[in-house]
Amino acid sequence: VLDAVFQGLMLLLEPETFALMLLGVAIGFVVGVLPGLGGAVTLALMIPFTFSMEPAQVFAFLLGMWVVTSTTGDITSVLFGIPGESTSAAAMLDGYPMTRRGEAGRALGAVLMSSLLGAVFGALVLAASIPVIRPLILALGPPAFFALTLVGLTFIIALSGKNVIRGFLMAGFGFVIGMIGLDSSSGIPRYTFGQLDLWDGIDLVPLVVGLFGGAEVLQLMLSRRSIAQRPDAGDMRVSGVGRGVRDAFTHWWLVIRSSGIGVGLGVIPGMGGSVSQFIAYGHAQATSKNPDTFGKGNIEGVLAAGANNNAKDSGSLIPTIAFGIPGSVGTAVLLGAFLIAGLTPGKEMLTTELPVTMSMVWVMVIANAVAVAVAFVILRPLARLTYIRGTLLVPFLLVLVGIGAYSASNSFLDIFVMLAAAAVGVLAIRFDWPRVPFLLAAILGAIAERYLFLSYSLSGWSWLKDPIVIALFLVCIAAIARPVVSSARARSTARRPGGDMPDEGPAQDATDISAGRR
Amino acid sequence: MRCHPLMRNRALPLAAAGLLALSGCGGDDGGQDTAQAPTGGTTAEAASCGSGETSLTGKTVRLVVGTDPGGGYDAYARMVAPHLGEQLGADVVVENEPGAGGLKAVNSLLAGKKDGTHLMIMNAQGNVSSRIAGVQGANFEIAELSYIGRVASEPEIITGASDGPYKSWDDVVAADDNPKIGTTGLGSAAYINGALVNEVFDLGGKLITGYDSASEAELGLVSGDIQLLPGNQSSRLEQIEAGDAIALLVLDAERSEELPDIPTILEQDLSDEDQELVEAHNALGEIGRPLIGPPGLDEEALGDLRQAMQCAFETDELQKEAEESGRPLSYLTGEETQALAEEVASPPKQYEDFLKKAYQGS
Repeated sequence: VLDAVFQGLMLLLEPETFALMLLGVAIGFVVGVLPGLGGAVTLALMIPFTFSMEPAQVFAFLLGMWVVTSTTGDITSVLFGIPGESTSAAAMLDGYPMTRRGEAGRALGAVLMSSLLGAVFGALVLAASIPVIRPLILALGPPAFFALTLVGLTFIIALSGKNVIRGFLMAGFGFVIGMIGLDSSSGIPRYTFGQLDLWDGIDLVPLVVGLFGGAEVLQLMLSRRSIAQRPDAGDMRVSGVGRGVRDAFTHWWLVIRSSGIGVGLGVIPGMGGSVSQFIAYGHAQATSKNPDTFGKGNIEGVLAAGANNNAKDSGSLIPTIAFGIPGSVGTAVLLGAFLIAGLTPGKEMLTTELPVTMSMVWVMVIANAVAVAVAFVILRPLARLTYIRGTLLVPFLLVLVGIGAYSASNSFLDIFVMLAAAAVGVLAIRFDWPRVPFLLAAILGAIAERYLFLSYSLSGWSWLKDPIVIALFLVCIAAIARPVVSSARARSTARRPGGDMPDEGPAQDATDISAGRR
Repeated sequence: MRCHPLMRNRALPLAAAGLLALSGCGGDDGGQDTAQAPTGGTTAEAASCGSGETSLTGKTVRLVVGTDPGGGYDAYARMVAPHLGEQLGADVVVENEPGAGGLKAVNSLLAGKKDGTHLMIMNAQGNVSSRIAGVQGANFEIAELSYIGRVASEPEIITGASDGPYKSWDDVVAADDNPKIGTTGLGSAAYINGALVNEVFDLGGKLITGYDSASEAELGLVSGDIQLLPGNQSSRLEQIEAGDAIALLVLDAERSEELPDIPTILEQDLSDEDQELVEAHNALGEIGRPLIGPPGLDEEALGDLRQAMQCAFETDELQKEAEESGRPLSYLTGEETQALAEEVASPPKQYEDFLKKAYQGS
């Protein structure tokens, strides 16, 4: 195996192959930063250029491009509050508030470093899982996936923060939105109002772009100021990058857990990166010592999102390589390219073609390292953009938001979805209703329902006896019980008047919310 | 080299199969074939390939795909687009407009421009059968769409897991085990094909509808959650070549070149009634993946498009790309495809009833 690791590296270090990977990284860098142009579509556009390449060159180029989009998508999320990729939405939840506080450097340092660490972790898991990859995947099935989505849904409690009732109401609203579309089991259209556009449900991309990006742009319009508040007269240097990088290492255990969630959920074809980023984020908040400051610029939220979103790419490559079954849209396109290049995924990739698989692992690591290094170089001028007056920046951001919503599936309806989501987002910010529970419910509700139905139609109720399912149910119960128990304990020890009184954390919050008014 | 226009060109097998026999229509003799265009060309016959001056020259033509990137329709569209553009002297741009199994893209085609700048690659089996079944949202007339030509048509096949309970289709029929058949939802191609064999062979199987994507169903097959998985040959071959699945039955009149040892459904012992059902179903599959324009497409543009497509499919480059990417072509002229569509538009009552049931569940 070590031999294969070495051979894989040699394959990649062929000058021409390496140059093609760098070209891919350059393209992926730009695509990632720009909202709208997604990694999967760009991959499809690039495939004709790979016809004349060697197999090793094909994936050095394509894989190098694709993995980098996740990394650089975070930059846009953190700086402008608009997700550069649909998988980068969670990075803005805390990254953007940090930018507004003038801590863009630290947030970017953290998100880039955790991205790199996530990519390395994902690549290691990919490499290490090779002997056990097939039985591992086959041990899981729809029942386990259903239980996993339930675990994800328990994070609604943590994500709701102090306003559990509001969080649950938002989640209920999210479930309704998630219901829209053709029911997968019986084919009955739900809440589609005779619109064919709604058959496949509300697309996640315009929802996320509107709820977060659109809402922030509107806020910016109303405030007529720059995104970041000028710290002192004239001093606009971007500092704290090093601190952000150090944050990634001091919170190493969080980074590893978030990466693990990314790899694990990335493996499952029906879940993918859009889901896992919010689960990783929710998990970070649920396990944090300062859950109240999440959404207001907590570095842990940034780290969890960054690490997760790069590790998930390795995860979705696992079934692609082991079975020829793509775990995401991006890997579906990649698979097509592999077949054209004459690589047949499946058992061979794990035995005779092992060096090729190993060189994919190397591409994930090296491409991300290159992208992060480049990002650090150009990060200062980029971050300075956030000091531009809002009135000048807003037109550009509006265009980005509009294109971002439309180009996900070239549908005009998505523009309206984005605008409606932006309106909801602004109201939620103004009146302090949590947005993430809504989004998590909208995404996970429909998936949970589908896996429940699938489990039942495959094996009646006998899947409830599956040990993996039982273990995951226990995790759910623990997740629900923990906050209840701890809050009951807190109440019994120190009963305070008006349970909603903010303690240290939310003081920051008050200024943030009303920023638009002043 | 000439051949019967309705005979499918399955002569471009996967490179991995090692069989590179280039017989059949539009094969290795590419460019020299322009003078003797396949039969049926009316408007198209006058012009010759490579003149580069058409009614669409200098324009941008949108070629819409009704699915996300990554699938077969997307791959075919992206493969054909540049060659079509070269022949037209136009920019042919591929756009993905996913939704409602491709019906959304069909509906925007109906509402779109009729000057030849808005085309799509249609999932004929899915979209036409939803029209026959009277699905809400499928409001087009099958025979009135403008058919530019057929890009490809591969048979649907039924597969099992390589370590599953069956080694052959005879095993499936002999076993009395109510197999679970994976599908990607009511009315999906997998559902219709699964329902067909379930009914014709009286398998007593259960159609599983909850899979969101073919990927999930493929994993389900390997893990033994389901026993049978219907699918398009070129997409199922991936799992077969990976060693995880085996082909059991080909839903076609003739054996497949890629799977010469696998029996066809018509080789089986069928009652007359079932035979009729299967033949109606095969006729629908025959339309395959056509390029279409809206009803009432401008006559001149349609002629130019048909001619350009024919010329594009005669170039060596396109044939070579198809072969290398394992996406076999089986070109039919627009007129021939149109004729197939007209035939399919009024199916036997029995088949119509079958499709209606397949869309509503039972």
